Amino acid sequence: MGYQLDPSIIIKHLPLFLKGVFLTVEISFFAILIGLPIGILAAVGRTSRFKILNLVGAVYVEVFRNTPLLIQIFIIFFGLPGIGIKLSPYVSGLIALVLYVGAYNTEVIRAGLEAVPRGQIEAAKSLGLTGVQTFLYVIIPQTLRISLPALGNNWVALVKNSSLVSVIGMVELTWVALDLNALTFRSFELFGAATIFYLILIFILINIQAFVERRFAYKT
Amino acid sequence: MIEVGDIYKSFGKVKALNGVTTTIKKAEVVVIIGPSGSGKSTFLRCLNHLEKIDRGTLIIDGIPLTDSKTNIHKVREEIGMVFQQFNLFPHLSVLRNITLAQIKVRKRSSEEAERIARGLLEKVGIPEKADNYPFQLSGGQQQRVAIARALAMQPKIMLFDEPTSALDPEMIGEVLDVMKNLAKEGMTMVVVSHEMGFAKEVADRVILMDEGKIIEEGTPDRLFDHPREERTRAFLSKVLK
Amino acid sequence: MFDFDVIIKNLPYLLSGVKFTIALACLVIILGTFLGIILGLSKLSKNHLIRYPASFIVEITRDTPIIMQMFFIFFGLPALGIRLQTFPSAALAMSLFAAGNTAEIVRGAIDSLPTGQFDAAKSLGMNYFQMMIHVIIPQALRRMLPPAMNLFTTLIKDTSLAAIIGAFELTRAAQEIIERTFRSLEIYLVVAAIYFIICYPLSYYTRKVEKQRVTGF
Repeated sequence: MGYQLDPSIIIKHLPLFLKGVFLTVEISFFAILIGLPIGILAAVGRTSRFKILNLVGAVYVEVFRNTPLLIQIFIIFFGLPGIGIKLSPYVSGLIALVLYVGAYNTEVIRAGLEAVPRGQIEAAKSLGLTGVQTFLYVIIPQTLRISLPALGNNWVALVKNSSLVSVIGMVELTWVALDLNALTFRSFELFGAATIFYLILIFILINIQAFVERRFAYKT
Repeated sequence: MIEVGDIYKSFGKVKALNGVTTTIKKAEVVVIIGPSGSGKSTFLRCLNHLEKIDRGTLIIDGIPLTDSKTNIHKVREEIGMVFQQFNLFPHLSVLRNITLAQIKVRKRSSEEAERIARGLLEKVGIPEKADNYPFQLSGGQQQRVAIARALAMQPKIMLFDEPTSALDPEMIGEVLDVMKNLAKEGMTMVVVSHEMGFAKEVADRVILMDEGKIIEEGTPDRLFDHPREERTRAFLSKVLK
Repeated sequence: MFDFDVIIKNLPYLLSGVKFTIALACLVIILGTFLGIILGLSKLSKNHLIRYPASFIVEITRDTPIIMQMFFIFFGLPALGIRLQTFPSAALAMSLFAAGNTAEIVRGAIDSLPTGQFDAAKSLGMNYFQMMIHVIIPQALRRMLPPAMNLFTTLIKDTSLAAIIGAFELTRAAQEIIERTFRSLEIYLVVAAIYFIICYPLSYYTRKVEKQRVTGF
């Protein structure tokens, strides 16, 4: 009894697959968007003179980088209801991804902050810019351009990690594959197709990253 | 000793060598000068097959380099090269830098290799640095170690690719002195350099290259004092101000 | 009310899961590193027949989520007659992922060396193997260490994904306990703490290695 390969199963459910891709892109996009200010905030905390901010930042980064994303997702989705906080799969997944990518962003942005030449701050001050203005208009733009390559890597990893939110029932690409698999058992075609979709997605993302890097990033 | 027969070399669209023909005799010291991009370094790197020529013939000591049966590693044992960036092995001590290839390639015993290494360090003037690491040495010292490393293989020909261009001015002299002694001892040398003084003092022949071709060649006195070609005159006037 | 009792009562069971977590991680690290070095060197080969397949394998294993690879191997391969159990499936998927990433680390480290090192070795008459063993790999090794250690930490955390296809390790043990006791918050927090205790020393040590730059290379 041979297994007959049946690619038509993909075509039949293509709309559902595309919906999954769209949702993967959507949740990744929002996680990247919100994760960036979180990373900047924590990085500022890590480089600040106030020991307490430094410590809070360090604890945040270490906890989220040394524990599995899956466990973080489980704590938010399954654990929080224990103390009365019930969140939807989408929101739980988003919060987990944001906190996870934020922690990785923090270290990258911190390195970027430290790489901006001291002279920049002195020049800004001598021109009369306030601390906040210096930070927003002189430091951050340069920090981001320096950190761009490493940040890009974090974002590619994020898209791959977004597949984990499928286990709490959020509808995205992996969930679609799992759902259809439970229905049709055509595992080879389904997971093969999902893999190819991810490959294409990541491939596009890597190329965008390379393009943006060429145009905007610079090394100190 | 080296017969170069109408060689061509391109990197993509860039024609680095556009038909170069010359012969280098045993014990001859040839200095190659010319503007940047003229193909001088490419020419040198073709001589020990670090670059493969596209067309033409290249015969070193009777062995054709382009023949697929030629064992290029054996040929390279007989040709020593000194680089602009020194290229010493940073993870090895000075002594080990000089003995490594002797032991692994020339198959000498470690005692013999060390003896030769220490002798050469003496010759280039820094015997006390044998156990130091490259990062602990000045540029001039590193380049002298590089020369010792190449000489340790006892090559028949020595190639120098702008050996002093990466050195601070006060260290150029010590390296040129080593090279001058080498020339006096009768080593066959092909040197790409901007050091005109060195060329005048030691070269048997000076070659001017531009745009991948040999424009003019002759004894240093003849070339520097009575250049025949317009481009030679133009280059010399810019360099010998 | 936070139930400490359930933690204490079930800690032994959780720790029995930790054994499998560590075993899986070690297996994957060893297999993945070995395969990854071969793939990485293949990617640098001038021979197209070696380079293209290696690049292909590296891209597929690096650019897709690990659980997708686990699902494909566990659920999909039976279609071709290859039926692997949960632990071997997870191990295989993670080893491939580890190999792909190790290959990139190896390739990146060797590529970052100045070409002058290759030139010098060649001009002294060394052949490919002599050059790699005595000059290139010793220098590349130093540059491979920090990213490799980061990869190891990631792999330890990713063993938790094996629970999704049912393999028994720490996360799966936690899930079983929760099915019985319903105390998700307490159990998952303890599990997080256990992973933290395993991973943090490794991260800390990695950072020290990163900061320590031996002059010269």
